[in-house]
Amino acid sequence: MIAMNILVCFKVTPDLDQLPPDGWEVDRAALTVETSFVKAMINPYDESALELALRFAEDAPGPVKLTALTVGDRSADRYLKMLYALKFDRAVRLETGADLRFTPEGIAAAIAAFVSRNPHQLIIMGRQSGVGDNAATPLLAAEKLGWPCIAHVTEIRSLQEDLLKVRAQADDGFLSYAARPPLVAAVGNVPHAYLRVPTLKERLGVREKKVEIVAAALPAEEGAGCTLTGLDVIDRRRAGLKIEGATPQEKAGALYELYLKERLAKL
Amino acid sequence: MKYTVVLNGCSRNIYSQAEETASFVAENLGSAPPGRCILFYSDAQNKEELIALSPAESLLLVKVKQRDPEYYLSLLTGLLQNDTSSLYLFPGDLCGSELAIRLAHRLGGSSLAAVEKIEEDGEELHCYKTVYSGYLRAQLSLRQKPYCLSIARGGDTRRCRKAVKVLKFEELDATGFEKGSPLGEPEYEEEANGGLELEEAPFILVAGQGVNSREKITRLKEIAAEMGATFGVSRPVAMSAWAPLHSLIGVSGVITRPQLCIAVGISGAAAFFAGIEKSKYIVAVNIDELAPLVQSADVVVIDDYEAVLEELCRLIKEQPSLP
Amino acid sequence: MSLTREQIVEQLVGILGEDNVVTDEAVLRQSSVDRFRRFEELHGVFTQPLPAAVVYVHSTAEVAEVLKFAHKNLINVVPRTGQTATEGGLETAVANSIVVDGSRMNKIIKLDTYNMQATCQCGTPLQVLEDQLRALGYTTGHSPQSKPLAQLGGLVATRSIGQFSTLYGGIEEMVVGLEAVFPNGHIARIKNVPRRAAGPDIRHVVIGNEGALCFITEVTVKIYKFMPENNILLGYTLDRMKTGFEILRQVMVNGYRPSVARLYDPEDADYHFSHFSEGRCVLIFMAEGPKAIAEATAAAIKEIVARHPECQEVDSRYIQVWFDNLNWDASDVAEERAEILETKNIGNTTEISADWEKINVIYEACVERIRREVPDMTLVGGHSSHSYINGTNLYFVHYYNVVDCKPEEELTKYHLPIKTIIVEETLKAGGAICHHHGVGKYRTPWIDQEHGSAYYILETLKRAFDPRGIMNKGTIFKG
Ligand SMILES: Cc1cc2nc3c(=O)[nH]c(=O)nc-3n(C[C@H](O)[C@H](O)[C@H](O)COP(=O)(O)OP(=O)(O)OC[C@H]3O[C@@H](n4cnc5c(N)ncnc54)[C@H](O)[C@@H]3O)c2cc1C
Ligand SMILES: Cc1cc2nc3c(=O)[nH]c(=O)nc-3n(C[C@H](O)[C@H](O)[C@H](O)COP(=O)(O)OP(=O)(O)OC[C@H]3O[C@@H](n4cnc5c(N)ncnc54)[C@H](O)[C@@H]3O)c2cc1C
Repeated sequence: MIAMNILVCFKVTPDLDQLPPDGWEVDRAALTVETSFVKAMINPYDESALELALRFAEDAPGPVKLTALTVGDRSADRYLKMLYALKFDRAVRLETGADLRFTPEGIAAAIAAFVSRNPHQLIIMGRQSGVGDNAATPLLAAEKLGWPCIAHVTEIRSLQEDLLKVRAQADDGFLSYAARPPLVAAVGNVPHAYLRVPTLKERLGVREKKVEIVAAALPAEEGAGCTLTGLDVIDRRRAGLKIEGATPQEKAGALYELYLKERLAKL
Repeated sequence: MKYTVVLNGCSRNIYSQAEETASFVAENLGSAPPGRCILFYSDAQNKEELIALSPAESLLLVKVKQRDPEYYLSLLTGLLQNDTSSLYLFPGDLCGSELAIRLAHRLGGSSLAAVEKIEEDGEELHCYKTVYSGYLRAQLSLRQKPYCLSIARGGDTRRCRKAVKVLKFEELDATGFEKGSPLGEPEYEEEANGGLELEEAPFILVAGQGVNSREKITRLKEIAAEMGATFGVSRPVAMSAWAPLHSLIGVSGVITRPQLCIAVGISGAAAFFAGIEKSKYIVAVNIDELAPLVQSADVVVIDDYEAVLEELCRLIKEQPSLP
Repeated sequence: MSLTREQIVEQLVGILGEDNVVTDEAVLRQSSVDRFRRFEELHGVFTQPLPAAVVYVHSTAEVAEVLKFAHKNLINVVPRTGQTATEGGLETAVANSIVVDGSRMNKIIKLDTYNMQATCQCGTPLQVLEDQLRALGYTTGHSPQSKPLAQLGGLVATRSIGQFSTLYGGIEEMVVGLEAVFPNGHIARIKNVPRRAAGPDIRHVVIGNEGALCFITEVTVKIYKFMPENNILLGYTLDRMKTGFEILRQVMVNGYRPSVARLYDPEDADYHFSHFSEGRCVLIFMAEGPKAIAEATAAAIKEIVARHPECQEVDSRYIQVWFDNLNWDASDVAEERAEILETKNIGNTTEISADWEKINVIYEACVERIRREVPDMTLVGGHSSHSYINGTNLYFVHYYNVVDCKPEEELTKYHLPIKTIIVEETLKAGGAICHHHGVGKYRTPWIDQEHGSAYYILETLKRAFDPRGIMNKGTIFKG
């Protein structure tokens, strides 16, 4: 049986919720914000994608080869090594040196180029990541490859060799597909999909394995792209009026009498 | 700027799609020549009602046999081969945001998701949208036409909805169309009320991770029902499957716009706040005075949510005129 | 004749009223364990004997009544407040125990900014006290990671310690006086004075008793001026723990008192600081207090570190952001629970201390043995977070995947073997087997070895104050 090659694309992002309110300072010239001081994490949607791929590989009837790919800088290497320990067969980083925040076109092109050199039948990746919030990369990768795409995926299973069951969230329910590869699955909100943790032994076992680092130029400013021309902090402050009271009950009472009663009556 | 709005009439959220796009058109394209709307529908739909929803004077009703994005996309690509619109507008829901990006690629244009506002400036289109998980607003400029945009959800839909009279009306039966993709036709599972109820609700109660167990979430859901509020949750709560996915509020879920929102045990990350930002009035209950939501609420109670909500529920229930 | 469960409940209702006696089965189950058995608990498996009731007390007099009742009828009592115990201190080792919950005794009685002391009831969350003090420009100086959850009774009962301990000390250096109720109902008030030489310091009979001698009802702690504007944070990466320990030693020995002095080994650093640690150890300091002192302390630390060329300074903003996100509240606990359930990956900690000579020996021996002897480990590492003139502590962090075993076997397959290794190596080297979480129920087997000939003193306390052995059976004291 020929192995099914699955490519999982992920991105390492800063955990922006850790940045204190006064940490949001925009560099007016460069249109950047210093986020390197906060802890990094795997973009949550991508984390689900990685875990879904591992579960898929475990349950698939035939052999599966998993490749983890990121377009990014060396901060991703420790995660790539961890993915080796979790039994990914290949861990690849495309090094571009470029500002990747608002370039889904470029990243998708780099992914598509990688796939044309390294055949894969299924691409799984998160639908959106938290700095650019572009929500476009998997869709554009599918378009560039000319592959079908299912977005907002919550489940991928192997029905039989070469036939997948894919469940996706729709605006008023769910859509379930029986799909044949090639396919791009853009992973949405998946309950219960924390990425598993490799043991020290598993990590030790792959200590000698090197992350494949490939230099890749992002295609020069494609016309289809967008240019960042402004960046501002959003001020979301409201009155934040504090209710006083000695007990929770007293506070609830004051809240109700002073602020809610009338509003509720008007609903 | 010549524009076309594309709506998915097969989905039960068609009303909010229509309102959202109409309000975007009114605010951003008021001076543009009247636009066009393409609306997909299937048999079961009430045609007259759909026609009345059109945000543009010229309407093309397309009858379809499948309701998945891949199918719409093939159909649109064919339909729009010789179209001269420079802007295609999609609602910001799951389907619309997917179509915008992919259609742009097929038409050789450029795209952006979740756009709040646009400004035409010579050869460029400046688009405004939130980035950095909702903490910042960016201006991003597109150059290549046609522009395919999905709209940021939760735009102020009630304010500027003015009735549009459909002057030009065409119909197309595409039920014989084959999408020509290896993706079979999906099976559709309807969800009881999906996120629709939450989206429209005038009064919501939202629970976050500070409500720290399945049992406590269940209890709050009861409290919500007793108070007459619709129940929603933050992402961690939904990801633990303590509440159904459709009750997830925020950039990854439902964008609400109630008159009154009570948020308990929620820190107020920007990605969440986007989902309640359009609330008229926000009450936060949090034990931590420094939680970001404390600053972004109208009124706050610093205390353990449990006792506060039980008491509040009692007070509201006692009120003779229940909401 | 011992009382039946029903009789116990009935009498408790008589003392405290129906509203304050909880017998709901789910609550009783939750109340039979603490974080030590959270893997079982998360899976809905409860292996400990169920208590007869959880009772809420509202006054010292009520506590005295309940204890007298238990004393008379030989009923085991487990005191509790914030429920963040990590070592089994809250486990009800005996069936039909009474869990006495002091969390509703939560009044702040007096903030005395002239004499610089604050008095509050045992159920006051430290966070609440600290917030009120800070609003006035003061602080307790106590900042355990569990600050948002833990309450003063438990904090005193466990001899807890906070992140700023290297300047302010552990809770034992903060408590000036307190009130406690003994099993026979005797209420003892230790008055608040700066110091005295009126016999042995009896505060220490109460501080750290883990509910095994008495119930703490009220606490008075020192307060300090809060001057965060003077804080100076310093961060470094370095290759070896040994170097780090030596720097800590030199800072302490030369008379400097940073509030924070922490040294992370590469594994633990990777867990917290992967965005800058690059596989190295991480060393963190904070100097605080009056401006001149903070500055002098920071300058001296810089000078000492500069003598060790393997240290590389990192931008203090890394440390600031980490610090701002450090403490654990209820939502972090919830998130952890969700993660454990899904990934079957669970982490625990064990804290010990030793003098400068021994600390690195213990560190190396434990890490090596755990890695070798315990299966499925995903992280074995640790940090030193509280330093003294004569030594420091080590906070071992151990995570593992629970593989091929029932929830109730997790302890025997993983957690206890790890604890055993750490305790054995610490005793062998001559360190202390519990630094700040208390003995709980799982380090009691070694309590006599820990104290050696001095165990006589400890044991006598139990016999004297709890002669019928009704206080938190199995905690600190054997049998
Ligand atoms: C790409 C991306 C998309 C995202 N999309 C979304 C989204 O759509 N929706 C969303 O919600 N999140 C989203 N997130 C996650 C978001 O960043 C936050 O992590 C999340 O919103 C935090 O949820 P929370 O406030 O419930 O939990 P926490 O941040 O853990 O906050 C819990 C709060 O409860 C308080 N609390 C604790 N105990 C009590 C008590 N007893 N009484 C009262 N208060 C208490 C605490 O003080 C704290 O403030 C997204 C993140 C990314 C990266
Ligand atoms: C996330 C987390 C972080 C932590 N970080 C720290 C830290 O930085 N430093 C530290 O020292 N500890 C830490 N701990 C341990 C724990 O928070 C402390 O032991 C704390 O002092 C316990 O206080 P509590 O109010 O939660 O007590 P509980 O958990 O309710 O009880 C703890 C012990 O004290 C006894 N007890 C409780 N109340 C009384 C009373 N009124 N009279 C007599 N005995 C009583 C109980 O029987 C039990 O044995 C941490 C725990 C967690 C979960």
